[in-house]
This record gives sequence, structure tokens and C-alpha cells, in this order.
Amino acid sequence: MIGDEELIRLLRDEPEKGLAYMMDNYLGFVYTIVSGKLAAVTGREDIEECTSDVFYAVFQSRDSIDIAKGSIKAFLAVMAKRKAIDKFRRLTGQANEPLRTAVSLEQEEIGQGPGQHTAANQVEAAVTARETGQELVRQIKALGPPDSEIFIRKYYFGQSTRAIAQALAIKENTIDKKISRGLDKLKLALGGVW
Amino acid sequence: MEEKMMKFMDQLEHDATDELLELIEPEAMAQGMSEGLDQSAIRRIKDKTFMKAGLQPPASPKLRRGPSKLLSQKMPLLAAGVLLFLALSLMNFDVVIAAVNRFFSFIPGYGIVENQAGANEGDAILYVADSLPSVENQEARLSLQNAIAGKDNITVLFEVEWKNLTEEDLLAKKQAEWERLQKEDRLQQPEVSLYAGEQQYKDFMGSTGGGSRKESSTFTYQVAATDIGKDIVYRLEHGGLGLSLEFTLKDVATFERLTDIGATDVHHDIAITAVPEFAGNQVTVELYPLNKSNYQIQSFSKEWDRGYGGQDLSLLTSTGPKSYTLPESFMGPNTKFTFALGPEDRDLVLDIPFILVQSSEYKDIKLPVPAEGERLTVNRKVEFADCTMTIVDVEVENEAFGGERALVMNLRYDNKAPDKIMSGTGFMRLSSMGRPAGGGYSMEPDENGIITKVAFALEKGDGRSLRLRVMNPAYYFTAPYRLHLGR
Repeated sequence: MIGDEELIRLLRDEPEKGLAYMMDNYLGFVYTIVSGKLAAVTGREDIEECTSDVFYAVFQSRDSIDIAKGSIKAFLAVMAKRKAIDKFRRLTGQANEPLRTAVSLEQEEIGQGPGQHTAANQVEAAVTARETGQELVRQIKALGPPDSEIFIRKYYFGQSTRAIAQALAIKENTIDKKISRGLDKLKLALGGVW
Repeated sequence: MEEKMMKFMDQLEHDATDELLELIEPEAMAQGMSEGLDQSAIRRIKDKTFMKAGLQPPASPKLRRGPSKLLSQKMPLLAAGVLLFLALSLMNFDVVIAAVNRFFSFIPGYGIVENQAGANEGDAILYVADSLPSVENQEARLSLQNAIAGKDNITVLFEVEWKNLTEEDLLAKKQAEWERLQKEDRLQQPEVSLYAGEQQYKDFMGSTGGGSRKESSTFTYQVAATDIGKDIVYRLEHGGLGLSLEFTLKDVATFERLTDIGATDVHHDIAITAVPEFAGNQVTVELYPLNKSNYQIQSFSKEWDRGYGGQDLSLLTSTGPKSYTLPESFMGPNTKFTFALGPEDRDLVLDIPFILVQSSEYKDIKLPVPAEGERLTVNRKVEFADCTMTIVDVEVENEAFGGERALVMNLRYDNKAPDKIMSGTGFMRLSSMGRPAGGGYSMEPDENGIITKVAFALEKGDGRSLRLRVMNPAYYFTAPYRLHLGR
């Protein structure tokens, strides 16, 4: 397996080779993220198109990817999430809605709709979301194996309980129990956010 | 809380994503993921992405062994005297077409070979495999697809089916191949030897394709002329699998007419011959094209994003039309179609309502890039042998190409023959020096599968004009091929 620096070099200097390598190694990974978001609302063609868009977008950004900020895999994952969410919104008629962050949902619940956000509020919300995201990852890590993997499969990749049970050779009801207990732990650890 | 959890996961930045994904081992990530992602889907996604990026999709991995330069000069099967169709063209070999005094050699599973009168003796195909044995162990099945012998060479076509390969194994195999390619600049060389009696031949030149559970290979061995004959027992030994099979050779069957091989129909200098194989309650029809046109065949049937007027290849029977199933894997245009048959089905006719073809023509043009929000009528004509394409107007749209800024072109076609319907063309950016410089685009077909709108991605440095290469015009040839299979 070549490193990210070498892959970036390939994408820039030998684009055919670089793109082929990137797709050979990460196609299943990206497809899973995209499929996790879109499978409930559309079919194979849209999922394949969106997966292709992700690779094309990262390929187009090859000159500006800064691997100090994250690995190629992370860039692909973030791009896959964004493209899939965008597609999801288009397909479900939510294309013109503003980005609803988890924090903005929180604010809506206390009676402060998205339209009432000021610019300062939005920056603050973004910073809070970022910090909460990092804290969330730390807490998921603290769950330990196999619970942390179950959480990632369930909430990051959108896999069903059955698929997780099959992949990890654990009974479905055990998976459900671990998720329920894990959510309680996270709720406690993250306090006010939830 | 679950919804919030997902929302936070959706918004993780790169560093947090890395931290999260570190918790899953790469091997574990393959387990239970990629559901629905079969080899065909992988191929489609790769092709689309490479097309958007203006790059040539990767070809099947090629294997090379031994003194290839020397061998390549000695490849009589690739020489101009013998015309190899279909199978070799699917593997990126040059197809050589010439005017000939015809007679046809038919090699099942391989192609129709049109022998040239007066060709060098060394270029002629003398023998093919007498039988097609198959052997297996717990790991794999090795099947001979055919063997083709010239004066001093034997080409062996064989298939390896991995019996117990998991998705994880496939990923590991692919990764190992890639690592070797990086280190040694070559793919793994399978230990496949050909024995003529006791004489071992190890060096070969050829290619392998497929890449999932089934791989098809075509290896050519230089063999002493004295080791070519019908009375010699040959052994193909696959060291990697620990399997070997034996075969003998027989005279190649030759025919004066294509119709002696199977039902044949010809339009626009492209003959298609259909050879049916009945087994139980189904028939598998294999198509053997003989192409003397200036076009390359892209498809005999509707593909998910390409098809004319909603039509598709089918089998017409006395009880009505039947739709087909495809083989598990294939390279290039699929030529094998399988149909389920009932006891009442008679008068079988394979109906191919159109074929999709493509030429290598291209034209270089320059288009104005209007200001955003302005639609500019240009009526730029691009002349090809069988159609004039007109770029009617252009407009810059900010989110036309996967959310990116693009020059949107509306297209019209004036076809020169009623049964040659242009479906669209490829596009490539040209540098200021007039050299091809990649570029991505998306296409929008109408209900007939004709591309009427193209969005070509613009780059930051693009000014008020864009130089493009308009290339590889593709057509639906709609003269129907009706192939009577009998029964």
C-alpha cells in the first residue's frame, strides 16, 4: 500500500495511475458511505453516479489536498458525506433548505429557527459542532472494541443491525443492546449537547 | 439522539474522520460492506469517473514474461496475414482488416478468422484444440477455452475460477498485486507452462482479464515447429494452482460462407453471426462479428445509460419475446446472451434492433464562453462522416457539473442516413498549443438515448473562449439484425 504523499504525487503526475489506484483501494469504502445515505431514497444508478462524483471531486482537488489536515481516506469520506447529503436533499425536495447542522437542530428545538441565525451565531455553531464532533470521536473511542466499531458502522456508514451482526459475527439483539448502552454512556459523557 | 448522532457524524472534519476510522481495521472495513457493488458496478463507476476526468479508463491488467520485445516480433498470430476478430480486439490488440479472398476459420469461444489467400505459411492457423478439458481442486477450477496453433506457436485460452474466494481475499489479492507493481513495475507472473510431450515451454506473452472470481487468459508460447502436430499430447500446467490439463490438436474447421457457421445478417459492412448452444431449458447465443466498417462495435444490446428508443436485444419465439441474462463477467462488449426456454418455444429468432458503434474521427473547435446568465446562440457545426452535429447554443452554469461551473452546450444532429443515428461524441479540452489536455463533462440523453446536452467543466483559468476536441462520434446503427436460430 503506497502512502498518501505518493498517491498525491501519482494523482498529479500520473493521473491515470493515481485515479486507478485511488479507486481500486477506496471504491468500496466510498460506495458504502454513499449507499448508507441514499439507498433508502433512490436506486443503484444515483448511488453509482454519486460515488463517481466523489472520486472526480477529490481528483479535481488533487492540487489543493493538504494531507497535514487529514488522510486521503478522510478526504474521500468527507466528500462522500457531502455529496451524498447534497444528492439526498435534491432527491427529497430539500435542495433549497439551508444546511441544518446538529447544533442548529438543537437551537430549533429550543425555539430558535434557522432563519433567526445571525452570522456570529453561525460561526459559533460551526465551532461548537467541530468541538462536539471531536469530543464525540473521543467518547466513541472510549467505548472500546467491539462497541466502538459497532457505533461507527451504525452511525457513520449507516449499516443495518443485521449487516453489522453478520460482519462481526455477533447476534442482532446483542448489537442492539450494545448500541443502547453505548448511547446512554455517550449521553452521560457529552452532557448538555444531547 | 440517534438522529443527532448521525448529524454529527455527517459533519466530522478530516482530522476527526481520521481519528474515527482508525478504530476500524482496514480488513474489518471490507466485511459486510460494499453490498450491491459487483464487478459490473465497479466497472461502470470507474468508467464514468475516468470519463469525467478526461482520462482513458484502465485496461485489463496485462501480464508479460520473458524477452517480450523479441517475442513480440515473432508473434505470427498478430501479424497482418491472419485477421483476428472479436476476441483480440476486446483485448486491445490491433484489428487488421484487409481485402481478401475469403474463407473463414471458426474457433468457438474465440472468433471467426478470415484467412488471407497467399498469406505466409507461418501466419496461418493450422490446428485448434480437439477437446476442452477442465480440472479442479479445492481452491480453483482450470478450464481450457481453446488452443490455436500456428507453424511455430501455440496460443492457449483458459479460464481460472476461484472457488472459495471471499471479498476480503479479493481485496488482499488486489493489494498484493499493486504492491508488487510498485516494487517491481510488473504484475505477478503466473507460473503457467506449456508442455509439448516432455518439452517444457515457460516463456509466454499474453493478457489476463476479469479480475473477480473468474479470470480469462490468453497466452502465446513460441514452440519449435517440430513440437506442433496432431499426434502430440500437450499439457498446460498452472504452478500457482497446482493444476494441469492435457489436450491434443485437430485441424481447424474452415467455411466458405459465414452462414455455414451460423445464422448471419449484414448491415453497413458489419456481419454478425450467431451460434446457439442449447442446454436443458435454456439457450446461450454467442455473437461473432466480422467488421469491415470504419466503426468499432461498442455494444449489441441496451446498456443502462445507453440504448435507442427503449429497445433491446431479445429472442423472438412462438410464445413471445424473451429477455436475456448476461454472463457473470466479460470484457469489452458482451457477446453472450442466455435465454430461458419453455417446451412450447419454437421458431427462435435473435432480434438485435440496434448496435452501438463508435469511430475514431475528431474535430477541433473553439467556443465562446459567455458571461454568467447569458445564453449565446452559436450554431457551430461539427462535420463527421455520417452526421453533422450542431452546437446550438452555450451557457455558463455554476452548478451544472456535479456542483461545479461548466459550459453547457445544447446539441442537434443532422444524420446523413436514416439508420445511422448519432448518439453523441466525446469531448476533450485543448491547450493553447492545441494539445489534448483532459477535462471532464457530463451528458444528458433524451428518451431515445441521444445526448442533447453536455456540461463541460470550466477551470479557474478559463477565459472567454474554450478550445475543445470533439471526438469519437458514436452511433446507433438501427438496421435490425434478425438471426434465425431454428428449433
